[in-house]
Formats: sequence, structure tokens, C-alpha cells
Amino acid sequence: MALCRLHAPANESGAVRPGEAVYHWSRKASFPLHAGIYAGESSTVSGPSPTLDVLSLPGTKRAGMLGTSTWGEPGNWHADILGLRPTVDETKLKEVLLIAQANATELSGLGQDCCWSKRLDIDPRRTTRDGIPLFLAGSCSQYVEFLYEQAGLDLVDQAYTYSIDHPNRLFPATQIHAFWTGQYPLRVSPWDPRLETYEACLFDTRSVGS
Amino acid sequence: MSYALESEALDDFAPPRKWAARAFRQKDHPTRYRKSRGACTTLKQGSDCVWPYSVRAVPTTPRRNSFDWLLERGPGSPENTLSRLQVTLASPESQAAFDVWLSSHASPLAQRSDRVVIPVIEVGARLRVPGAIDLIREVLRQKPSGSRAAAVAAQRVRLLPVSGYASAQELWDYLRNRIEEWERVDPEAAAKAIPSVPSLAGRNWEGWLTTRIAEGTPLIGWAAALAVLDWANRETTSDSSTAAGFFSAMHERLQRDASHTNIGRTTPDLQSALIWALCSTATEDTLPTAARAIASAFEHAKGLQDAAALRGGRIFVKRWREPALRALIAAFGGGESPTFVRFSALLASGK
Repeated sequence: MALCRLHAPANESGAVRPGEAVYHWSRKASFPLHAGIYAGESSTVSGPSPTLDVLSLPGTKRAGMLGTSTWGEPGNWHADILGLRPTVDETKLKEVLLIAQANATELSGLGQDCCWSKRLDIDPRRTTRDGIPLFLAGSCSQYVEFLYEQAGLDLVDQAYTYSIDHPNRLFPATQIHAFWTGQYPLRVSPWDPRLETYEACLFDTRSVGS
Repeated sequence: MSYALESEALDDFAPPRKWAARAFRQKDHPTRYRKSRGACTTLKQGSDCVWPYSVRAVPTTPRRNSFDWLLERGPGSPENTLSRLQVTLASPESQAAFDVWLSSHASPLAQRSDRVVIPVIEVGARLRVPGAIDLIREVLRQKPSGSRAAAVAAQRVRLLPVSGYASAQELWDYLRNRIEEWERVDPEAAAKAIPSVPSLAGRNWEGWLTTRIAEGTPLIGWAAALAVLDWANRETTSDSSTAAGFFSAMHERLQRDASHTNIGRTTPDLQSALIWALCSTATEDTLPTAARAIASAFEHAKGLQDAAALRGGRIFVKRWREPALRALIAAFGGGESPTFVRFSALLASGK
């Protein structure tokens, strides 16, 4: 499966590798989804909501200055959904985490809390490391998308797939739909409002291994 | 610049009157709005503000103090202050005036609270306003050790045009002292600040960084390797003797800590950063050594080392072309070896 629902009642299990996408899901309407990158060793995990090391934007809950924390610990996010790329070479997938770690030193001490920032701000004129554009601000899902793009593994074609009402937003549920269908980069037009929320985004045929 | 000229420039972008009554949630920002006749209205608990209001906002600060006004008046978080500054500084004229204001107010501004100073540094760095360097220097000099503003200043200074800065040595001294202090008490702050070192290029910066590569903790060594990676990939750097010095220190650390890998939350992966940076600092003499390091890291794949070998290998081949490919083929044990075939396929599929 390319999408693994660890949360109850699905309680699915899956093989997770460093660099895979991890999502927290809450039924609270105010902030239902949060996204990060799996930062631990390759392993098989099963629900409900196991404890996983995840790198996400700093300044969010227990993530330190470099953005890593253990999801599933009390008071932290939960690892409820995994977005997997089982057919991608493991080395290529690790590149996502390598970039995530290396880019963590460049993230602002401000403006990374996706509760408020839905505006993506990347400065392509200023690069770090071996040419990674400077990520100045954005939401958690925009940051995950940015990391996957830098590794050449785009999840969503944002130039083509966006909400008319919120053209600058990238909904985590849209990425989850990409994993659900196994279509990368996801191209959906016209916009389908079901791509804005989980579990409504789980439509069309489920991918079994792409 | 004279005070009169500064004042004239600032007059051009006094904050819009409506900002005095900007909408925020009362639970976060207990905001009072002054009515035109002097009465006050307080929003109901938890209510969302809807614009326009029945109250009329009245600016009460002289226009020449626009930036002070902006920082004083803005209710709420540093993020809100950052947003207001970004809106205000949209034009080149306003940015020029901001630059002048920062330079002339650096010292008193540095004494203000972190929630005021941090967004000012952030917006100054994003806009590459040279005056922000003065503020950063003062913040590094004045702020107490636990200050978040000092950490932000040490990190954001590398986004600014520090080359040719008049007090560059002084700035480097302040930065170095801060990092050395953080290495003891707040290693993550030190790690975020260390990549700023090559930008400042103060006295003996290469030796200082080399010591971190050779002897630093895995976190500090990792940050130092990233600093070298930044330095080596700047178009203007072609100092082969410095590159050779870094290469030697990183290779030695790589060999010494060969068994060490630390994928996971505790610290980022030192070995991967060393391999990645090694590929960028290879010289003609060290091509075979670099190629062997790439091949070994890719074949044994501990932690993120294979990904770093792949990422670094792209730079290596792009920079050295045929000689690099020959060295890689030799290091992998021949062009037909399955590992080299996989490596070259991944290399070709890269960005």
C-alpha cells in the first residue's frame, strides 16, 4: 500500500523507510492534519499511532530548533497516516531526509508555524548547501512538498492542482490523495473539494504499491 | 545621512490609519480601540473582528517615527510584526529608509524585547538590508546568553551582504564567542549558527571551522561540514588550499568515526554530511580519495551515507567530469559492477 492508515479503526501496518511522509490526524476541525518526514530507521510499523521520530517544521509542539521530535509521545503529534513510496529506490528516498536535516539549519526562527502561515515563500535566488533554494515560510505540507521536490520526487503538481478559493494553499489531504492513488505528481483539474479534507480525500482506486 | 533626510524618507510610508484597528482575536490580543471622541471599546471575549468596524482608528504617533510606531503599536506575536513589516517594506524607497533607520537605531533597538527584535532581524535578512548587520552586531554584543534573538541573529547574518562590512572583525568576534558559548549550553543554537562562519570569513575562520570538523561533537561536526558545503558551492570560491585543508580534516574524521552513524532524532547524521561536503572540496589530487569515499558510503549504506554519496556524487561529476567518472569507475571496481550500474542510474535520474 502507498498509504498506510495507522489510526483506529483501520489500524493498518506498513514498512516505513527514512524519508517517508508522516501525517498527524485529529478530528478537531480547527487543525486536523500536520505533516512531517520520517527520520528513523527502516522498520515495519502498525497502528494505532505508533511512536516514530519525525522531522517537521521547527517551533511546532515539541520539535526543537532543528525540527525533530518523537510523534506519539504524550503532548506531541501522532503518527496516524504514512505516505509511502515503496517502488522508489531506498537511497533516493533517503535523499528527502538528508535534505530535510541539512535544510533544518536554514529555517527561520519565525514563521514556520503552519497554524498561521499558509503562504509559501521560497527564494530561489538564494541557495544553501549544494543549491537548495531558501525556504523562508510555508505550511507543514508545503515544506514536505518542497523536500520531495528537491529530491526529484514531487507529490503534487501545484501549478495544475489547486483550489480556486485557496490558490496558494497545499492541503495535506491533497498529498494524502496522491499516496492513496499512487499518482505522482498528482494532477487534478478541475479542483475537487474532497481534496481538502481527510477522510473525504480517500476516493478513486487505491494504489497497492506505487 | 542627516536626520532631516531620514525624516523626509520616512514620511513617505507612514502606516495606514486602518492598522490602528486591525482585526485580531480578543483571546490572543486584548485590543482596545480608541474612538474618535475618546471613549474605548473592548472586543467581546473570543469574537472575531470583522472589518470595517464602527470605531474609527486614530493614529497618535508622529509620522517620522513610523518604524517605532509599527513595532510599538502592533499587538500580538512576532509573526504578526513580521507580516506588518513585510507589507510596509514593499517598495525600494521604504526599504532604503528602513536600512537607514536600522543603522542609526541599532543599539537601542537591540535592547528591546526578543518579540520586537526577532522580526526586525528576519525581515532585514530577507530583504538583504545592510543596516540589519549593525542590528545583528549589537544583538550579538548586548543580548543575554539565553536570548532567542541572539540565536536568530547568528543564524540570519549569513543572508546579509557582510562582505566589505566595516566592522567585520568585530562582528566575527561576537559571533565566534556566542557559538563557543552555545556549544556548551545550547548545541542546537550553535549548529544553526555555524554555517554563518564562512560568510563572515573573519580572522582564522578556516582553522576555527577545521577544529570543529576534527574535534566537535557529532552535531557540531555536522554543522561545520554543512558550512564547508555552503562555502564550497559558492560560485566565487576557488581557494584550493583551503579546500584541501577542509578535505583532509573531513576525510580524517570520516575514517576515525567510520562505525558511527546516527539516523534518528538525537542528532543529524554526521557521516552523511562529511561525505556530501567531501565531494564538494575534492581537488585534482584528491579525486581518487573522494571517489573511494563515495563508493564505500554507497555500498555500505549506513544511515544516510548512500544518499549523501549520491547527492555529493552529482556535484563531483558535474565539477570534474571525465576524471571524476574514471575515478568513480575505479573505486567501484569497474564500470560493469552492479553497484556502479545502480549508482550511475540513480545519478542520471537526479534533478
